[in-house]
Amino acid sequence: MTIFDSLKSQQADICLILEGTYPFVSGGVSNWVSELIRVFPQYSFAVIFLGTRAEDYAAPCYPLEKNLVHLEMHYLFEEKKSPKNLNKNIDKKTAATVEAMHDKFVPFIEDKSNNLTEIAELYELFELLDDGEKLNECLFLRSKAAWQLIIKRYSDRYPDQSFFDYFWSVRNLHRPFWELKKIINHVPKFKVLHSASTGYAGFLGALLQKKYALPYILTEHGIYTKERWIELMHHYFFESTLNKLGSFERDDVILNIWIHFFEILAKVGYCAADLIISLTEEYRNRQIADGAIPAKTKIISYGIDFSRFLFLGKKKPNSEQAIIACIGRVVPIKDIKTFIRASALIIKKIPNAEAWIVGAMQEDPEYVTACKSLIATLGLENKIKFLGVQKIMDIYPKIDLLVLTSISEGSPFVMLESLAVGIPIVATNVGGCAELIHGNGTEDKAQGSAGRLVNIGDPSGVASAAIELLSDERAWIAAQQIGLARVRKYYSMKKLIENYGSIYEEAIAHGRNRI
Amino acid sequence: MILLSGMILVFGLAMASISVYTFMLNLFTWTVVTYFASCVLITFSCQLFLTRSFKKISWSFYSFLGLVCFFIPLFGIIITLSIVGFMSVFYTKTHPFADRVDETINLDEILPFSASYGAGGVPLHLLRENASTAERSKALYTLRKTSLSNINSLIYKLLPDSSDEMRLLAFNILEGQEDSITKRIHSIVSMLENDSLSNQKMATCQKDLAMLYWEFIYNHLISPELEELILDKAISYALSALEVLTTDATLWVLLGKIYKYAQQYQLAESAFQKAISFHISPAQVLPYMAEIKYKTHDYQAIKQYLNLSDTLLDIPQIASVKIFWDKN
Repeated sequence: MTIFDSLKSQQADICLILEGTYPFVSGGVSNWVSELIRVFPQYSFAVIFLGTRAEDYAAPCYPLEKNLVHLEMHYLFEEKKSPKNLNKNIDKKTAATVEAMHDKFVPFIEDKSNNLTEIAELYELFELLDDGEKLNECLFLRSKAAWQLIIKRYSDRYPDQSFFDYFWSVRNLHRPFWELKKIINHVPKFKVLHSASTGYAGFLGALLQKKYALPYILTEHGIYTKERWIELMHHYFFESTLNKLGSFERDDVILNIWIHFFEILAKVGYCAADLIISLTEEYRNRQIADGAIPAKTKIISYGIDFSRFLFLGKKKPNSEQAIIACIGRVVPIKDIKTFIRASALIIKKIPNAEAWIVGAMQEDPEYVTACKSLIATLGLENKIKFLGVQKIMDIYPKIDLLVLTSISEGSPFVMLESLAVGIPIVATNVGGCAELIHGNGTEDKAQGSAGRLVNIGDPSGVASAAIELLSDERAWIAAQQIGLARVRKYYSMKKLIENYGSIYEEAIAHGRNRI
Repeated sequence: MILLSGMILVFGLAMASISVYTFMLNLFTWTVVTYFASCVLITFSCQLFLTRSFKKISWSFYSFLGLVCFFIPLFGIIITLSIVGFMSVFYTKTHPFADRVDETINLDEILPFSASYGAGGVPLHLLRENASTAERSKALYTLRKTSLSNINSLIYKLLPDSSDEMRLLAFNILEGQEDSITKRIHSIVSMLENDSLSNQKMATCQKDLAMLYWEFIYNHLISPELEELILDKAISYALSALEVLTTDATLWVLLGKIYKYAQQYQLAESAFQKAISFHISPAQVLPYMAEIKYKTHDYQAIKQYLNLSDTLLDIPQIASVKIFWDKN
């Protein structure tokens, strides 16, 4: 019997649709989900987890709360064995349905219109996918008729492109839809849908909303389309421009298909959602620019439970033997290497200082090795230490400064913790970090800064800011007090509970029209 | 379109037959009129037929076909139809997709990035924060293709950019390059740990390591606090490799470059001299040696080095420097 066997209830108040996060991957969004389930014990939750392949995930990283009553996992890119007899001809009617389905996919990859009403037609695709008796994924993607259709479309529309790239793009763009189809037909009974991103999770939310007419809430912590854009551009920069020395103009077409695909997924999510929530003003503006209707948008910040993160009452920094800490997973997005380089500069100036890296190390072992090798190259093995996962309240009393060198963030929960316990912060100017350090809105900004903001990938900037705060007692205390006041006023868990509580209450009681 | 073209061609040929008939009846005026009309119809049918495959054929080409038809009685028609037939076959065999690409791909989106006079160069487009992300990313790719060694200096300028996309793309590009070199270093270091390597193989590995460490510095991929350390490693591996590969001119050049960067000019100069003694083309090292003399304010020696090889005039970046020092 596994821990999941008890999570098969066929009824829940709220269905959380999550892509690559809780409960199998730790991080900001997962923390938020975990907290959300914990602070609403009056509601029962179901989680639909969308992942890449089963082998990419291990055991849950979070304790599963009692009110989590249903958990189902679906893997969108699972390798499947190629069935036999794919070359046999299929009847004309089925071949026509295959073609009609490919036609319905066209808006996902080609339609440049911003007309959201047309997007509603995309749902028709799922009606075709529903015809499971006559048609299946194998016939659609791998039959002789499908192969001939792909070749024809390639010749007609993209003869200038690499067929290899086109073929795999088509296959990988279409494949997840079959898995999504399976999900929408077999979900338990929910009262509210809530997805934590756009992308496939947002799209699934839209499909469920369409099929079951449920209220649908979409909360975005980062911007999904932006993250996919960066991944795609990065891939093409190295694969196409550096390795093959090919023409970017040529590859640009396939690249644009992918970018457009994720934009359409986001638009469908925004279009279907009754309420679109973001954590910061910047991301709210971005959602509107990407197709969200302004009236549906709302900002709800993270909240922190002050009873769990008590103010430590630290009076001043230990400027002679300072300990700086970077708390987070050891993954490239946290840019631990910049933290290490900055630490080297800080230790040069404050020889007795130490730098700690606190967080999970199993996610990207190669990156962990690269970081350790950098520390060895700098000869600072005794000064810069990896502590792994720790009880966070055992760490805060020992450190003097939190340093966050991430290249991308939503609104980091660790910053709220640090401000609540009274540890000032040096953070990169990404996502919601500026709002937490300098404040949001005139009144909040007038309070002052709870730390220092620096550019990404700038070790000397991080080091100077850290040295300034550690060596200037008055500046450190001022940052501590401002941070404490800010987090207590604007980022309490009580506020978060009030906000989401009223949304859930309205949605459960009155359905879509009252959110 | 083809049907219409065929019908008009039939009319044209019928008209040509009428003109032959009127010629046999000695009705010359009617012959000229009907033959002219048949030529016009045939040319028009050709135009309709070719439009299917070729979008941009100028009116002068069709005028030429018309004149051939008219001034070479009867045979002109055969020649014209042969030309059109040949063009159609040629198109089908060689350019089946040429025009369809125009129809299916938005050329405005994929046209190469270019800058016109007054618009500024690609770096300017890249660093212009109010330009669209698409335009700026295209500028970045264009710049990458130029293979400038200092492109990374420009990419560093994007790290504090206001656009999240550009900022993260720049970071990923720098990180990706660093990762790629680090991985290559690790794989060579693990090879070196194998005791069974021959001296020759070991020296080759050390040479590769020296080159990789130099790549960090040459491509501006290393932060200042690590630069000294990396230079030391590059020098140490190069010297170890030279104990075995004593006549490797490329390695001597590499050592010269590293010493020059480390401002150890005497050692750099003697490394370059060694490279020349092992038959490397002087043009490859003389500019570096001249640069060392410039840095040490020995201006006479600059002239002497630059005059040692006439082939320097063939290198565009060096030619103007050589001309300058020849004049002064």
